[in-house]
Amino acid sequence: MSAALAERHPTRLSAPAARERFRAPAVFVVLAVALVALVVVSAGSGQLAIPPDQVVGAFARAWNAGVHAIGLGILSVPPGAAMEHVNGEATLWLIRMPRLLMAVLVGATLATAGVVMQGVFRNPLAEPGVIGISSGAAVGASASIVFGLGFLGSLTLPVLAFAGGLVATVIVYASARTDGRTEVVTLVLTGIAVNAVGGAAIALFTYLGSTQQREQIVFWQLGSLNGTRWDDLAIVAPLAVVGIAVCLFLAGPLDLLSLGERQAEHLGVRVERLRVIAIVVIAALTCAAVAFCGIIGFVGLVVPHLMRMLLGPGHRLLLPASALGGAVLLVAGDLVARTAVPGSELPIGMLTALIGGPFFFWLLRRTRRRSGGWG
Amino acid sequence: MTAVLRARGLSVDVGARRVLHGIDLDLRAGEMLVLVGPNGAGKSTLLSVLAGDRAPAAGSLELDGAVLASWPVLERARRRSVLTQSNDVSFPFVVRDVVRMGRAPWRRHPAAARDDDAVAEAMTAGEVAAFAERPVTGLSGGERARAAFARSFAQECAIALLDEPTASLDIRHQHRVLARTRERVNAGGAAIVVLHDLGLAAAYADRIALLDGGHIAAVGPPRDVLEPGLLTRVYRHPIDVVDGPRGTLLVLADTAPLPSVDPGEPLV
Repeated sequence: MSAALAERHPTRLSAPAARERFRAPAVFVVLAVALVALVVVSAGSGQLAIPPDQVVGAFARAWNAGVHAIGLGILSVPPGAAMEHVNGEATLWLIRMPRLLMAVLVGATLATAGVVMQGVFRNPLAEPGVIGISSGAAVGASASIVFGLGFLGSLTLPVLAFAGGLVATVIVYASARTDGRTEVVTLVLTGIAVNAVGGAAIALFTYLGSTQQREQIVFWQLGSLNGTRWDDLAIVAPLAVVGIAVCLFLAGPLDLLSLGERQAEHLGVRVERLRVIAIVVIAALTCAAVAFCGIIGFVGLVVPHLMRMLLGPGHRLLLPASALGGAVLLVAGDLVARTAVPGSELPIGMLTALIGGPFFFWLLRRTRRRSGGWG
Repeated sequence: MTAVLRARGLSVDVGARRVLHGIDLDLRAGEMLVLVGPNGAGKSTLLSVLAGDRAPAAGSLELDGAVLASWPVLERARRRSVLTQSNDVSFPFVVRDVVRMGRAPWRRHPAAARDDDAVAEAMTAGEVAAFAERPVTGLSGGERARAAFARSFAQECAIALLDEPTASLDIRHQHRVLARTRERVNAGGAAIVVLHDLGLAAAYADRIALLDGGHIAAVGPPRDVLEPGLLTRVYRHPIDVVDGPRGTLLVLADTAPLPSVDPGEPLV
């Protein structure tokens, strides 16, 4: 069986070393170019269309203002094309850019959390939704909607969603631990139980709520980047940046963990500590993403897998590539969500689930075929 | 000789069941100690306790003269390598990367300068160069075991703990793995190896510890421990030991087991 499996990857095996060496830089360059191009196109698309040259011009002017403000005018660039439409600047900076940057952050955050989760659970099917973080956050969010809570102003819903997600993570982690260790199967099964209870709580809130509140709950669960403000970004950005940076430091230990928990410890990894750090970071990243934008599923599953196929399983490349890939996927998804149906907006969570569902199924089939299931 | 690993009165519980009862065992520098015994005798459990994976219910355990638990995880990883029985890798790393993971404990340490040489030597020791660029998840059981051996060999620790390293290997590689381990031991290292093949144990061990139901039934040089009466009693199967060519010991199991006795019942 193994010989047959090996022969299924002839290109990977016999590829000249030179091609392998340029593969990683090529992937990063393509992703970065795609991200920049998508941001420019997406910033110009919508009811008020702005040509790409004017978008780039606006970026250049903002850059110049920025570098002059901190006394580095030497770095200024030539100002590009001027904005033709009178409302162009306002639309770009007040509505589209915060939303676009949020898509970049949320995409990077979800994909990074997915990589770390798959590494820590040693299961390629693990996903932040699996262990119940997303549904915990949804419980917090729907509670704040139904009970009309507003003790923190407009931040109430995000904060409660964040709290719900953290509580779910802590419950799963605490109850899945025995003898100071966490069995993967127990943890995933506990996640299923937490998801079921979370689903029940959301159903109860939906039942209790008024028609308008129900609509709000449903739309929050569908996920959307609509209405993102700079204030929201100011909260999500530090969490996302710090969280992703911490994940990059976990790359080495995560590689070793793929040998097994005991085996990693034999190689000097403090496995329990690694797990705690990883769980906290995953919870923080997922909650940061989910709190403002609702549930956007499967990004954490699809992106890490695509990147693993391109770059191999080493986490040093996989983590940054997935962050970049997640940003590309979500900016593209958001562009489709905003523009596919004129005058209306599709929920982005629906779009990602539409791609992610079949992908998950395909992955399931492939994994089963390869290893005859995973016990 | 100094004991690099010293166990005194080790008792171990798995769940509510006591599987090891007051084990006293020393591993000396320059010694290869082989653990043998029937299934369920506690060989793997003993090895995992000695590796620090499992805390004993009673007794003490010292590594290089200090309580094992007091060594930081990284320091342990620089003193002893462990090869476990099952070695499933959860992501398709290529064999070369897996072997290189054996060098992880030596990061930010002067010994890291030896990384490339150590990996190359370990790949030769395990004979994995032929499939070095293949994902380890696509290998056969024996190839995977050799990759895992190469990984633990690359760690270059003074103490090697190996749990049935020969289980899925062909004859050539069984002897290769034990011979490479033997060379390390002769160069001043030490090793504890769990084996099922008593002939291999006789050929490579300085001392053999025979485990039976969580007790050490006998420990000593191969010729003392591999005694037909003792083996027949412990393994509940007629076993003969004869002198082979070139000073070897041959352990022969009777091919016709006692027909009247249920193999699950203890011999009376």
